[in-house]
Amino acid sequence: MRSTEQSKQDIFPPRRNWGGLVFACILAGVVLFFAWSVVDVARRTTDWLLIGPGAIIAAAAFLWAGIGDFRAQQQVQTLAEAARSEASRPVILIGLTCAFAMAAPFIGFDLGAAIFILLCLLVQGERSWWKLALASVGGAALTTWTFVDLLMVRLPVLFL
Amino acid sequence: MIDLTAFSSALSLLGSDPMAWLVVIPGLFIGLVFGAIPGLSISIAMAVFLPATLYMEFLPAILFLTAIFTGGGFGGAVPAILMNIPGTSSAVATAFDGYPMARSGLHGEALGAGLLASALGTLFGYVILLFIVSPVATLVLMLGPTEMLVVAIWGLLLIAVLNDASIAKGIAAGVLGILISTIGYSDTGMMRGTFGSMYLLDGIPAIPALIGLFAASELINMSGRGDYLVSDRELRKIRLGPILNGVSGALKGWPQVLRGSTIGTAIGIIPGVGASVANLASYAAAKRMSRNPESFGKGNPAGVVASEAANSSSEGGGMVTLLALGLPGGAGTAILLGAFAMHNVTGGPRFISQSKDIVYALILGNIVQAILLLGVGLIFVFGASYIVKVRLSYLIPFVLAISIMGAFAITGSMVGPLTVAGAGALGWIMRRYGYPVTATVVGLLIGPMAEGELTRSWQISGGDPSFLLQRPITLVMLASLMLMIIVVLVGRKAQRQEAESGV
Repeated sequence: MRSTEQSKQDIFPPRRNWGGLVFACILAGVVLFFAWSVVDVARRTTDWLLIGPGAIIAAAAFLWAGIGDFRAQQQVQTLAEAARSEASRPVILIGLTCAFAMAAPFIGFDLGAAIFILLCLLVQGERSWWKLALASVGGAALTTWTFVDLLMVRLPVLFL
Repeated sequence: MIDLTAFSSALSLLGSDPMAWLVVIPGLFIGLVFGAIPGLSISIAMAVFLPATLYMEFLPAILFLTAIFTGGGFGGAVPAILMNIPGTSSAVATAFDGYPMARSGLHGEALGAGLLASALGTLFGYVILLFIVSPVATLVLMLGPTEMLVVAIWGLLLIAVLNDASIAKGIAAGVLGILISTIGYSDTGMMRGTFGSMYLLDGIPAIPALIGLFAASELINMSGRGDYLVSDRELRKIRLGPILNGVSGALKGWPQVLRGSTIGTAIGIIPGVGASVANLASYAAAKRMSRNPESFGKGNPAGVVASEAANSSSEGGGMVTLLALGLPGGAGTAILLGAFAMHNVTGGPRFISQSKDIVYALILGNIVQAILLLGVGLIFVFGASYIVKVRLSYLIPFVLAISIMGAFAITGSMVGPLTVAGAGALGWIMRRYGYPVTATVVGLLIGPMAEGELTRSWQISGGDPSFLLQRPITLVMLASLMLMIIVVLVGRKAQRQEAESGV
């Protein structure tokens, strides 16, 4: 009689970690490109003395790590834990953070923070309108007031 | 051993600056809160509140951040004991016996014992620092550019090696940080890696990058987790009596506190080895030297005491390398180094020789923090239950918004917020694939120092490698570095085996 684990193995064979390898290759390429761009226009040895060898070491280490990740097979159950629906939330939050960072100096940190907090809560599943309103408006007002009036930090603001 | 003139100046400094004391209790409280929430680390708290120190004087700024550091040292023990979830990596060993104690209804005693061990450990570490910082400074003044280069490589290498990921990932992450630090103008006026962008002429701002890599990436990583960290209210009910029993029990077992503190301080002095290793090493030693080693892992208070004494005393040890060498020993001291940079202060032998009164003031301030931790900690364990009820979905956007605002405050332009966002994305991806973000941050902070010392070494030697043979201190340091790495790797393997077999 086959064990449950063995049956699971047959249905869900182990898979390679392509993501780790691709990430490592990308970073290895980036550091080598950076080093090449510096060496190409360097006027003296000291301009690239740290960057050249450093980039080679970093690229080698990234490739070694990437190959190590690729060789380590992952069970599909493990991969399923990082399912698309879970991975999308961090990506959306990163996008919102970038958007907030780009927009806030122009629209004001008070308005920007309110919108940012509102959207982050919506992404994370909050649907109660009064909680959303209190957290976004009240929270943005409190944090902006803390920085501008309490800590005397100059921030572009629209309302406060 | 102690410069009495500088010591009395330090007392005058502390007595004349009320701000230096006003920030201590809020800092301790912030550290306790962040340390107690699993997933939020001390380094996140320090990174988030780093911009708040921009308009403080240097002494209050550092005391505020070290208070967060001190508070977080104990804060991680609270969920480790109550829920078997270490709040920080430095409280892993605390859970080995703290959680069994809690399950037996002795959570008050466990928390009390951990609190006292943490306070005494911090006190011990800083008292030792008071005596050894000057001799260490005298020794390091003999170091030239080649020696300082080896020190920089030493710090980065140990950080890269001592992490939960592979050595290759640690080295890759660390060198990546160094390369990021070279973006912008070189010493010869050459633009490197700017690709025509005027925003990058001054390079990547270190503090916003640090906030992004540490805080933003971790918070984004936590999105999508469960609504609450603790759902069972019964686990959070805490009474004062058992806590005081735990405190008095730990006090009676002072030799265990002393042993753990000594181990923690010694480990903290080594660059790259922090509280994460100190607590496990101390636990292992306590178990080996116990008359009842089989009781460890089943609710022996000595296990809690050993772990907490070591992880807290390593803070003082780590400050030795920060103050004497200008090198961070871990994530927390890396942020302190960022605070130094923000106030145009460079740690190292010159700083100690020229500003000894400030160094002593920092140490004395931290000694007082250790004592205040007892009082603040007692109040905290009552309030902790309400704090862990805050939904993560609310915590994440608020902390991210604060980080973005803080980054703008530092740079005065959108470069800061964009750096936080970009570094946060990079840090999230790095964490996803198991790369240590701490190594990148340390590389980012010591990169300018490493390049400067390398350039000076090259210029002095004229590019001749045999110059090293004329520097015996450098050769000894290189040999020590190799030996240290071997010892650390063997020790880490032994600790892993100890942890696997003992729990």
